[in-house]
Amino acid sequence: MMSDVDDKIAPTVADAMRHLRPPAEPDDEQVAAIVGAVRRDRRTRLWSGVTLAAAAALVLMLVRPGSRQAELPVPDIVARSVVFEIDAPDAHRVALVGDFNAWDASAHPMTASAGRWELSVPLTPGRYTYAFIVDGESWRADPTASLASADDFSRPNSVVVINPVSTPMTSTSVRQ
Amino acid sequence: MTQPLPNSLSRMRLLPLFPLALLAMAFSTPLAAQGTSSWRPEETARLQAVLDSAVASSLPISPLRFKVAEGNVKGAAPERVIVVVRSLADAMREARMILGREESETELVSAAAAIQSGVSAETLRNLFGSLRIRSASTQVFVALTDLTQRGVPVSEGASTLMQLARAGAGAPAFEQLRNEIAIDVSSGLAARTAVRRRADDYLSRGFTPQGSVFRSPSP
Repeated sequence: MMSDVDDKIAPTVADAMRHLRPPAEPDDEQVAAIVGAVRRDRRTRLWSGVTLAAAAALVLMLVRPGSRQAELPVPDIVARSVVFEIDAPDAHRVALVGDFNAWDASAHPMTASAGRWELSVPLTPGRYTYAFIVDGESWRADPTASLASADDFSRPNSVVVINPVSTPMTSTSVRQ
Repeated sequence: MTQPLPNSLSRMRLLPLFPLALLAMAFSTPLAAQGTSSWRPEETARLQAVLDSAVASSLPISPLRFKVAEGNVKGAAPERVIVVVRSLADAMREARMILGREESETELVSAAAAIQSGVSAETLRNLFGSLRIRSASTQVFVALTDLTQRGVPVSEGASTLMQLARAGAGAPAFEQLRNEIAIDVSSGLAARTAVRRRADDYLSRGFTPQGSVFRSPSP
């Protein structure tokens, strides 16, 4: 049994159905376009998947020290405080310059105590070349450190090597 | 007619390029940051060509940039800075041939410094090959450079260090050697004498499995 409302709706729907056409079969060009789009989408998803998987693997290797340490070195970013010292009793100012401060003479001014100039600088593992600038003009190498290779700019340099944490340091000037 | 992929998927295509973009940003630090702002354009261009060539060879750039900064703060002429930077890049290339592709930047720069101080590739290769503890390479290269700079003949310094390396000296032992030689020399001892004495002492005491020198002579 149909209600009044059904009676009003039914003819309208039937009319609408009559105007509907059956779905058209896609032609070859459309099929090729759709397949191409799907393939590109798959490739994109594959690249995205590979990228994400690589990133995840890298994170896992970095946060799991020990398990894969032998195959992939874990970046050692633990800084150690290195104390630089030089005797310059007559100096008015001494600056420490080196690879660790991009040779900026204003970056690391040293402080004096009874003619001995001192500064503690945190350094991550690596090899650093450095020197002291006394009173803004006299370049001095560190007498207690190794010499750098033949000086390229007619001024002496010293070298400090900060071992990774896993390797003990023997230098007394390194405070952990 | 094909529909364009959604924007989100198009962006995902660029993800693999992200690390490359980061590298490019790291390498594209303006040269002016190294104090070359007063250089003539052709000088800057020549320096940039050296750096670009190093990037193309997958060499680390930071040591070259440090060298530029060092040259500038020391008042070197741009021409000299370019020569020195090119020389360092060449030494790093040579060092890489010896160390292989697995070397760290620290190892590479240390080996390059040894080459620049006059150590031949063959000597460096032999020294590297004599190491029982691979992680000692940086310290042994720095030690050899130091000895060379102090006037110890390369063959003599390298021979002593190889002897220590074959006996099991590691990074701590070579570092100790460097420190003690610096002290000996500053107290007036000749570097050749200092290195021989210290090496004999270490060899008589022996080395721990980690490559440190035993505190007292081994039984």
